[in-house]
Amino acid sequence: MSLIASDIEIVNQCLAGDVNAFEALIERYKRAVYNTAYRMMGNREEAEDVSQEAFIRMYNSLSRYNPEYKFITWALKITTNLCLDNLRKRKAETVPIDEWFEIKDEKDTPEEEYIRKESQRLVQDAIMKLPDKYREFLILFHHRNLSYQEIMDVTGESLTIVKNRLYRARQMLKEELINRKKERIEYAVQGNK
Amino acid sequence: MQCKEINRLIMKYFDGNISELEKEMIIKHNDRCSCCAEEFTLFKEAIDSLSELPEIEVPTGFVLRVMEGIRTREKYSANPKAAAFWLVSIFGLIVFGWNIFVFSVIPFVKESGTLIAVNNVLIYGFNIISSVLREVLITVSVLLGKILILRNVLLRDYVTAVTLIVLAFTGINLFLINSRRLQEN
Repeated sequence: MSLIASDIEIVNQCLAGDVNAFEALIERYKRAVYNTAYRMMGNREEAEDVSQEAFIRMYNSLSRYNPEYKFITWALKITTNLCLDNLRKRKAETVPIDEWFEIKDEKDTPEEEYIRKESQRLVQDAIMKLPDKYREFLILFHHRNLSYQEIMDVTGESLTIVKNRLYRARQMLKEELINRKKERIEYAVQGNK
Repeated sequence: MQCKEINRLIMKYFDGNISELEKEMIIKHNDRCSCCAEEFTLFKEAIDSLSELPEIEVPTGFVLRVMEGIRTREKYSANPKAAAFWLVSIFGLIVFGWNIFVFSVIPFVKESGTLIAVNNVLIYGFNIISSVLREVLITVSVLLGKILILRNVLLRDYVTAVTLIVLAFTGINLFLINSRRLQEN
């Protein structure tokens, strides 16, 4: 027996009634789940709520986990579905996006750091403006680096739809960023007057 | 090379399944076509900044909170599916046992008189209980209806009374003010 238990071994332990075994799985996948939720929801509070709920749901439906797929795929499937549900519910009330406090890079000068933060904020703002479905695909492919096959497993869509959505999503993101930059320049010009 | 074709290659580029030759084609085309070159740079900026978004740290105590959530839910939530399953099966067993008793046991007992009597007594008891339940249900709903009507009537009367009182007070006040003025004059 190997020192590090594989996912399916842990799942079987949980199914046999060992609740504590699940801790290892959370430890293993919390980063991916939390980050995906964060980029989908746009703020930490909701991201934490959603990822907690996602893990609890995973535990409660462990018996329905199909070992054919990787555990991470299944985890992200549950997470993204929850995110989409929550986003649909909150449509009415708008939640502000997090104020910016990202990890510092020691090498950066304050100026560089500022510029980097600004561009990060720009991108996050822009993807928050995209329709939820498209944002999901962009995040899964370009941020979580999932393959086409994995995205098909996560979303349950066909290859054509995945390709189309990604294509459209990239176009939208580009347009959104161009608009934002224009706005920024206009704003700066007005400020200088 | 058509710009449309290049656009397709650009998408392939961001899909990450592009050959060296195709990459070369994009670069060559972009040297000649400023429109596609700009498009490509914009795309590249957008996608790169997206994939470079930093991973953020999971808040401390996250695992603990999740485990806590799992444990409390396990303790307090009776699975509704399981509960329904048990209810239905117990009810089924009772009905089944009753039928066995009436149709298979009673006919084969020699002195079945007592059993039939017991059966009748049971049916009688069941009828009493169900009639009482029915009675209670009907009484409660009728009572509720009456109470609601009563409330509406009271409310209406109350509102009328209060309005009349307020009107009377205003009238008296106006009258007093008026007579005061007359006196002053």
